[in-house]
Amino acid sequence: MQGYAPILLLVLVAIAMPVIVWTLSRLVRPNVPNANKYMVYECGITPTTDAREKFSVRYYLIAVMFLVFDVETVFLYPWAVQFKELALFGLVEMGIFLFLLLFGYGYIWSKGALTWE
Amino acid sequence: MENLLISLAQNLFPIFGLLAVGGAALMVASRQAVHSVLGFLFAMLCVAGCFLTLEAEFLGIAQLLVYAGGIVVLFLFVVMLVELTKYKEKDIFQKQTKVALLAVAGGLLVVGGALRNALFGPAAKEALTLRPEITNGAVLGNAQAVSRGLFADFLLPFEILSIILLVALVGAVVLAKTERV
Repeated sequence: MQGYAPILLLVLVAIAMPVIVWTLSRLVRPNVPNANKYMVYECGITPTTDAREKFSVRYYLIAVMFLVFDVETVFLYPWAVQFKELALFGLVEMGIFLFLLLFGYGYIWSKGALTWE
Repeated sequence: MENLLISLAQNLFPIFGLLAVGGAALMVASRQAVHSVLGFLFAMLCVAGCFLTLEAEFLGIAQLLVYAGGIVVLFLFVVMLVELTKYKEKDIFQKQTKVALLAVAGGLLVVGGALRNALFGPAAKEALTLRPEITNGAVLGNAQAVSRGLFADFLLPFEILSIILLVALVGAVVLAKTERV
């Protein structure tokens, strides 16, 4: 655990920085509230709709596809570090794993889920 | 000051654990969906910290990559997909407390068996320790130990996992591709 002290320190500094800057600017700045100042900034134009709009369901599809292949990549790593020890057994095992996911890849491809019409 | 720092450093696991529970509580209690996602993100980061304090580096990094990276984005997309302001008028999200409590009670019963074993069983007497291969130096790194467990001891679960991922993929396509927006 010793090696992580710098990272922990970095995290603490990263948390402390905005707190210090916010507090400092709160103390220094003039306080003149105005309704216009609290308006949402939208490239200088008066906002017409709420920011919380319904997005296309395709974003969800993209996120799930990303997540599945992300998890797959995570499992490739422990296989790679023990590649020589696992030898043919690991290769076959990983081959089955990858083949099943390749099947899924073919499925989403054939369904046209990868295109954005 | 120095004593405080030392005692903090020695108790990082419970600190991260309590922070994670706090994040989870924020996630459940928050009225704003985006705040819930932020609470979830905080809890996941703290769980990664827990893994790191247990010297399970590979799991910690995987936790950061998959949960804090991927799943939080997925949750944010789900929040964006659902027009929450519309549902807020109908008040459907505030009427689920009883159902939620029942579901939690059922879940506790299921998890309780495993928890009882871990808390009061023979394993509870042993401290949380690393697998013997790592401590006696037979395996060099953390990822190697994970790989040994994954590809040798838990072969079938690993292969079943690919089927679960496949189901997630196909299910998402079936659900989301029906509408042409």
